[in-house]
Amino acid sequence: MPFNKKLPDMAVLDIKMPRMDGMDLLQRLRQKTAMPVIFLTSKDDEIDEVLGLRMGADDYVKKPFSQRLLVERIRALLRRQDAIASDEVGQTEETKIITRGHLNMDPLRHSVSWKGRDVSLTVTEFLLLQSLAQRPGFVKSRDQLMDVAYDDQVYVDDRTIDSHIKRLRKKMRTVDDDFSAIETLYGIGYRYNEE
Amino acid sequence: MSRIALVDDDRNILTSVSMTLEAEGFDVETYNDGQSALDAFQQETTGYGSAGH
Repeated sequence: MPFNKKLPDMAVLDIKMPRMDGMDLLQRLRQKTAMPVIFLTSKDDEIDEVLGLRMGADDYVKKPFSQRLLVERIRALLRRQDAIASDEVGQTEETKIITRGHLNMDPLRHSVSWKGRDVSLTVTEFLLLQSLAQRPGFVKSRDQLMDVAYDDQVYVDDRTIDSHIKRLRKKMRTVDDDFSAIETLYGIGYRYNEE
Repeated sequence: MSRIALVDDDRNILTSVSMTLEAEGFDVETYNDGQSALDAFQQETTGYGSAGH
């Protein structure tokens, strides 16, 4: 069934819930939307935090949490979204249309196409691809990519970036089996290769 | 105004967080579980703002 066109701007999801838990819901959402998602995790959910980020959540807040902290995280995530989508900031590095070979990215519209075919990316995937494609041929370390994709308060491990890149490639390959513009440099990071 | 979906089976959290977010100027939709949220997102009509508890 298609999603309603007027989806919320973002979702805050508990992980452990009856009927359908937060992980399942995230998975279902990610099949169709790039809606920003914050997970609420319990003390015993530490594995879930990492897994959640790997599955495409944008951030997580540990229970018990202060309401102020949650509001801050929500605002930070919406700001990141706005930085991609805003038309008020003019043509900065963040809002400039990128055309690299077959890749076309329009941050103001949060749209990505490869060989003229649209690809739907989450905020995090979009920011990673944008960062790599801005400087083709230059290597970005996982640390640099983490800084691009997450706020300072969010701790993610290297493998989280790897998972995002893996998912990003998979999405690009849905429109082109031969997509290979994102190169892995083992132990170093990633590089965008312009064909 | 940004619209936020809050999904949690803990009623206390739904109530307290939605009150805080509303006071901060957000529009909040609350759901008790993932399935209810997904059902609402998939509805064809747009009038699902008060779903949940």
